[in-house]
Amino acid sequence: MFGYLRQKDVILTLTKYEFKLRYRGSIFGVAWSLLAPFLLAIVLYMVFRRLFEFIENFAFYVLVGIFVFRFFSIATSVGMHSIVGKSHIVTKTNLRREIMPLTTTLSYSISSFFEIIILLPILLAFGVKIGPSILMLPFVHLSYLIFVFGVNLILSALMVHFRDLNQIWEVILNVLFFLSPIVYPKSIVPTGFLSLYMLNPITNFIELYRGMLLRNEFYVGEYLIATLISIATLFVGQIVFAKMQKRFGEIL
Amino acid sequence: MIKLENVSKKFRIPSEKRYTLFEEVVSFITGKRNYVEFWALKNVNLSVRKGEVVGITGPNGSGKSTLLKIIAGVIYPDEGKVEVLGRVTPILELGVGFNPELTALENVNLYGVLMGMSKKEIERKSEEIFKFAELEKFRNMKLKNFSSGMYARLAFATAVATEPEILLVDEVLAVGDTSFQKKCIAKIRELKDNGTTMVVVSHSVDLLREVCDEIYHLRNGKIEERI
Repeated sequence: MFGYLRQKDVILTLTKYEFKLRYRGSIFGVAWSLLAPFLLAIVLYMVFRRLFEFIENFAFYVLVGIFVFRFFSIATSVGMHSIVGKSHIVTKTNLRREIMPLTTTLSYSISSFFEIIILLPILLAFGVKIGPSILMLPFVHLSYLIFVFGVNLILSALMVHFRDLNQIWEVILNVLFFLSPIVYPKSIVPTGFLSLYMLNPITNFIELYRGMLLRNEFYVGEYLIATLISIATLFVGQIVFAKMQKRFGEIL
Repeated sequence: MIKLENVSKKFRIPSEKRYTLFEEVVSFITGKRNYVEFWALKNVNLSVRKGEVVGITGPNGSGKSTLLKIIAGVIYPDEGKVEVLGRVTPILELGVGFNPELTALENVNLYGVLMGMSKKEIERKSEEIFKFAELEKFRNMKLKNFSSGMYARLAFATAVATEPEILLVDEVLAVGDTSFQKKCIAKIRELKDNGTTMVVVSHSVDLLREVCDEIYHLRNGKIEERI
């Protein structure tokens, strides 16, 4: 089922060049891509700071939320094109097709990891105490990556049949942004809706990153739940993809 | 070894193309599902022994490429059985995945792994690849500055460096100038002597005669005759 994961050389080489081509010709490549989330964070902070005065470090609270959500939104909006956009590889080689969404997910997870690392000195400069729980960052990121990969498997396979999926997905992402605790705390969600609200797996990830980056805390329970959801998503994605990929060769 | 038993492939050609969810929903509600079916391949039997070179020829639209794609595992047959034993390198098009913004060497790395080589293997063979393509001087040149002949030579040289057990070639032998074409045919012969199983698709029967043990003529999705 996941035999293709053993094809390390293909996966790593494709990821390397995808990454390289994305930041080609600009030394400040990563820096430019950080401008938008910082501006968004400043705007949202300005708008909501009176309302949520009681949250410690509210500016960074918003910033971390945006950064965590960003990985999901960018990696999926690009990843959903990974089959359609590389149709020549799908129709002209016998490479396992799961590798295409995988390399896109990997290359964006690397940039997202760097983005979060870049945040660290800024947080330190503003007096946020970062402690040993930060060491769990790679594990949380890996779990998040698995979730995003699972989603990308489904989206990229669906995209072959429904070419307007990107527009639908854009709307869904906008809704998800406000269904995740990015600009507000989880505590304002009415208790009756909370279990429904927690169905959004990104919520757990946002809380986990905030714990590590802002409060020097690691929530084991949330981590286990998030990882279980990620693995379940991956399995569902793999099953859906394996079923749909049989007709890729003729549709594309 | 390749064995096809009663393989059939049906293509559905929608009379109106539906690509979006919106169109799909509309046609579902109105109950319209119009498409024309046609059999690209019908009851094809083909058996290629290890080390044998088989050529396939036929007019446009006769199913040559479909047949090759089925052997490569790119598309799946609707009926029949396909058995392929060994590492398959399909050259259905030259230079799949080549990126104009990368250098020749980087593209060899990229194309090489796509064709199933390991990094070490590519590193070991890159000298040989550039020598065969006669492009040693252009190793670090970006591919966008290559002529189409250079491009094809580089791709062919990389693809055949995979030491395939089974090689599938679709109409790509006619690349480059005459001297390079001769080199390609010599390379195919050399691979054949080393025991590579091959299926070669071409319009040119003369070209196939030069390398093949057996040539089949395909017409309307059926193998019509042995030449």
